[in-house]
Amino acid sequence: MTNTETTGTELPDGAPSPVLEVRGVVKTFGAFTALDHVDLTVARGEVVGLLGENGAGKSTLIKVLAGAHHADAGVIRLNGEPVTIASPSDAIAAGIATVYQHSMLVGTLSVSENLLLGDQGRWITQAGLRSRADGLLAQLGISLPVAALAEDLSVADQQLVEIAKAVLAAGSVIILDEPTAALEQHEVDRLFELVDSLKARGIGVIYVTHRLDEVPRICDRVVVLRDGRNVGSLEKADCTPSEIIPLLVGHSLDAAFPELAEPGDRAVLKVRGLATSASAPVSFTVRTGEVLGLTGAAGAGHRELARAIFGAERPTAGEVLLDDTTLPSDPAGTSARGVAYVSGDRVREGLFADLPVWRNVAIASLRRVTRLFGILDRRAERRIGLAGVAEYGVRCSSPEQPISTLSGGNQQKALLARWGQVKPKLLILDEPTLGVDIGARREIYDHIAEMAGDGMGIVMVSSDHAELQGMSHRVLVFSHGQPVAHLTSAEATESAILHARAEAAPLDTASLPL
Amino acid sequence: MSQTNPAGSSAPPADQVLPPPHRAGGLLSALNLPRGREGWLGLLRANGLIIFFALLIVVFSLIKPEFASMANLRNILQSASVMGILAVGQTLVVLTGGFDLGVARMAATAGMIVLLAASGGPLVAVVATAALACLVGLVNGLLVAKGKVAPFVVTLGMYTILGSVTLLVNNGGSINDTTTWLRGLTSFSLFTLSGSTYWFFGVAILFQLILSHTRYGRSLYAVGGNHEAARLAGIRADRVVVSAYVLCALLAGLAGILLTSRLHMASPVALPGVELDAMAAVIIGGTRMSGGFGSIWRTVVGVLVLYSLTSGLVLLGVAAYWQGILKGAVIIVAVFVDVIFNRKRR
Repeated sequence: MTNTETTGTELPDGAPSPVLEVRGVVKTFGAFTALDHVDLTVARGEVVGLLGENGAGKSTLIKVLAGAHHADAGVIRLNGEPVTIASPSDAIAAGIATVYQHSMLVGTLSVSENLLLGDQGRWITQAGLRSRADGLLAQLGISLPVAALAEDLSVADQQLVEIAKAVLAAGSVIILDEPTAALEQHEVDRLFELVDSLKARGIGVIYVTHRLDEVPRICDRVVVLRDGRNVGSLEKADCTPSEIIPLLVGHSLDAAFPELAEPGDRAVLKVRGLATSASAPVSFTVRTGEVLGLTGAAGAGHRELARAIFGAERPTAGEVLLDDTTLPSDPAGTSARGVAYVSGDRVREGLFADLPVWRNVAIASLRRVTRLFGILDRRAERRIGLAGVAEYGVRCSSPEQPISTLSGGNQQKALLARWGQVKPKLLILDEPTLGVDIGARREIYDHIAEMAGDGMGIVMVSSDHAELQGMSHRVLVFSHGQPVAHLTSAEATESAILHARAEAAPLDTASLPL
Repeated sequence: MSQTNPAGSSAPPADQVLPPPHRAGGLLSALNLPRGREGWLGLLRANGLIIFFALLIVVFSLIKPEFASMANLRNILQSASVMGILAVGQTLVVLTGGFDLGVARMAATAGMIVLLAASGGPLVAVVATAALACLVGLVNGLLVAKGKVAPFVVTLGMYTILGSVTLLVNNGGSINDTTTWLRGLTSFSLFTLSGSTYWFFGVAILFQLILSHTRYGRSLYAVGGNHEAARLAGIRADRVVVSAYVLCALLAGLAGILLTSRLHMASPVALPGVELDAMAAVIIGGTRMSGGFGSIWRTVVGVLVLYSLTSGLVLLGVAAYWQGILKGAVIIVAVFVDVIFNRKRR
């Protein structure tokens, strides 16, 4: 370890010198410019909030700094020296470490072994490791059981270990990527204490977040990106949601949306006090032909709620009524009753990668083509699959090709077709256009509008604000496991949703209009 | 999204100009012929297993004409039948992404039980055996599906337990058969092929039809291909996994009954190590170990490859000590070829 200089004990004085300077960084992917001459400066002991909507370029910038992407142009200086970051190990050697949302610890090793992985010396004794780890954590003001296995720790504790590990590996700049997304409130406080102690050690912190309410508490300054450009920088005193939101919104992506028909009068879905491990009890109703948008920051609980309606996740309380009869809480039971769920995680939860496109489409309709003794009417099965491929405009060279060879947009259309062929009464969409190109996006919106027009009730989980505004009749906004606002589609502008998300007071959903 | 080309007509979207994917379909595609486009070369590449099997037969027949004799063929098929039925059951479990180490010992146990219960008549004997097999499969399946224990661990435990059960039921002794109905199950012969061969082919055809023509078959592939996606598509994925283990154990029970019927005796140490032969047959057939891809036809060819190889090597006078090396090499090559095919497919 030779990082005594970078983790020096001296506190930043009145005029902190910049530890990291990013000047004019450009990154393009084909014709798409993800970063367009972006600048970012972080002083010693400064916490800089990096904000922006999905697709604004935050992740690309982080990946450039972490060595996962190579910038096309621009200069990165550390402590005044230009550095080339061509790989993750270059980034760490230069003094930049990134703590990602998902744990990168080795679960079966102890906390001390994880902390000192790769830096254990020749002769390893458990006692030696533990005392070194204890010393290190004490310096950072963290108390953790260093002998415990990493996998036995809570998510919050694992994150503290990761941050400590990052300090040890690269002591100049630490990037925290949405660190509070999976944390409880008291855990957030502990995280902020740790960030304060990083500041005291002179470490520069880049803090990426979607939660505007925590920005004033933790950030010294914020830098806002939009469409890959710097659109503003605010000092601590101005870091309020009302100052930040105008900078965030109004991005140029102006996908046209189809006209949504007026919903019917009859309630198809009634949710009564439904609670999950991630969300408090909520009640709401969806009418026939109505699209209800659910949104919030990652970990706000709205996604779990939508999954619980389908039975993909076990609710902890409450009940779900479809056409006034109680739904079971398992996917086989709910789908037999006419509920469909299109997951946002296509690869893990949607696709049968090696099966032909048409079989991927027909898989949810098998019940309908099953004859005596469970024997399939294979012609009818094929007909359903091919019809779905055609009706939903899934572009493939042959419906026989494995679905894994299609583009993301066409895979998503195939998954919509899978459930469209079932003609469900209620369709639950989870991030329906995630990873979908703009052209296919419009087609997907057209299909959604058409399904709603046919009288299907639709619950749409989305973090794309333009999509929420353009594709839903009403929007329920969640924060910290609670619904905090209920907006009509006219009210649901991007800034209204962002303001609502920054709101702390939970909404009493029992009083919602039907 | 919209493109124009110099000729002025609109260019096809990217997905339409992708080359047709390679299909490692094997026998599946031989029966389920790909629709055009792939040509002879594609068909040849996709049917490596069949071609290998054909070559094996031709080469052995040319060197040793007696290999191709009806008597030898009959012998190969008869000796392959018990292991073949085990391999059919194993295929069902492997399709779900699992593994059953206990099939041969389940068969040995079933062979003992059926004789011990034979005095009660065919119905009692068969029901008792099936009930035991069902119980074993249910325990395996529930521990794997609901208990989330690794299939290797669960079935290793069951393998060890069944090894003890076969010894306990008759104090370690073998039993000689005196019942005619039991012998009758395999003592018939049609067109020179023996009774147990018909059982093997019957079971194979039945289960291939179940896989390709029933909703249950589709569910099995779906669960093996992507368990979570299958569950979210409304398939009772856990139930499908449990049923695969139950069917596998039931087929092992049937194999045990047929073995006892053919040998006119039951031994507590019957079929030593045959569970691994059955696994080898599944692997040679090209059914994917991680689940979701494969078929009974493939396994049947795998079984026949293994037994033809043994028979051919014996006829050629290859010393028994060397046979394992050759068979092992075939298994490894089969998997290696499969890996290469899969790499090309992605």
